[in-house]
Amino acid sequence: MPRDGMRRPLVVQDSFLRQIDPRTKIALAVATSAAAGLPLPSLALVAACFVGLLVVADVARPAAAQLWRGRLWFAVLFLLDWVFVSLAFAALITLRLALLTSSCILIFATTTPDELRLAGERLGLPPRLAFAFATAFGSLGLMEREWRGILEAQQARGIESAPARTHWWELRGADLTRVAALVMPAIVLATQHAWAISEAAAARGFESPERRAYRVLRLRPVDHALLAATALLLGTSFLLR
Amino acid sequence: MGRTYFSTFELLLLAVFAALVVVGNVALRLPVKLPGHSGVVWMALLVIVRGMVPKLGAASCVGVFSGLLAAFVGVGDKGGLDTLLSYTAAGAGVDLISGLLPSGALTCAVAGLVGNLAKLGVKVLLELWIGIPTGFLVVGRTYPALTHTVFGLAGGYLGALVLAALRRAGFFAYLAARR
Repeated sequence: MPRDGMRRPLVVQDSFLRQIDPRTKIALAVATSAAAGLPLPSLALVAACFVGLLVVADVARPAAAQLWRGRLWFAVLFLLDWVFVSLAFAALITLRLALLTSSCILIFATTTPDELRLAGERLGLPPRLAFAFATAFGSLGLMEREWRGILEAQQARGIESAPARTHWWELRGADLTRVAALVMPAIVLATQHAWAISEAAAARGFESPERRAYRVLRLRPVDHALLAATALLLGTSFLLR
Repeated sequence: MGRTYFSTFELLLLAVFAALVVVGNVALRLPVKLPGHSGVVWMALLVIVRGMVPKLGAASCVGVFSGLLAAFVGVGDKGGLDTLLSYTAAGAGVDLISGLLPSGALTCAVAGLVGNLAKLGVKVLLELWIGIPTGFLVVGRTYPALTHTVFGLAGGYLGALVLAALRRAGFFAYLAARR
């Protein structure tokens, strides 16, 4: 993660999962996460199927990138488990962790926030909440620019950023004051932004009782097939444990 | 149309604050190389939003929104589930303390502490769930728990300072006119 900028969400456009209903992908991710509680043989079976799905869906690369970010943690945990318990236990824990870490990639690498908002509405989320989530996502870029603008304005006025600290007892009150000076204008800008959006939404009849969604998600045969396959695999794995 | 718990403006305010939390965690980092240091800005923002929208569930709402956003932009090295749950837990922790204790600087500091520890607690619970031996967790998570405590307290107190400054500046009167 670059420290100096926001990572843009990368949706894998070529993946066949783009055509799948987001609710199906949520169910897949939940099922994969739940499988992390299985013993090693069943877990290996689920993990093999999951890797197969990642490859077929063309999301193996983002999943690998996600796992690579936690490589140090994985390595230390594997070595500790191996040295103090056993190799089989180390493999079990690492596999569980890898599955848990990468399960949500099925959703976040193949779904746009707008699709997730629609799925939320279909799952019973009030439209106002779903709209607020979409607004939050749309505000990321703006808020990032505002933060940077405030930082640059403060630097122009001679307010320097805090020096590097390696121990918590080196923290000074001045460090908190610097952060407070940064947070205050950001809050005022955020409030003005929220007010502008709520006014615009009200002007367009957002709170009208006659309001209807412009697009409604429906589960298709391929969604039902994927859900059935997942239930079958998970059910078998839990029965075989 | 029936009266809703959060007004549209309040919901949008929570949403924009969720974006602010994620941007703050990514773009605005204190130059401190310690676990839990992101809690300073994060907890401050959660405490501030709970002060601006004084309703139970406000900070939790920001927690869920920011967790989803963070999972989308790929924040965190332990995957989307860990990110979503830890952001949500931080919001719920702040909400819980703000709802239980009378408002004040001490409550804000404790709310920040509980929020930051809740974030760490979720990680520990997930690690316990997948079967990591408790001994490893006790050894590996004691120091992070200490730093999360310090940064959580600092973040909560910072939130209290900012809320007091906003109140002095008349910001709450401006906000009341918009509800």
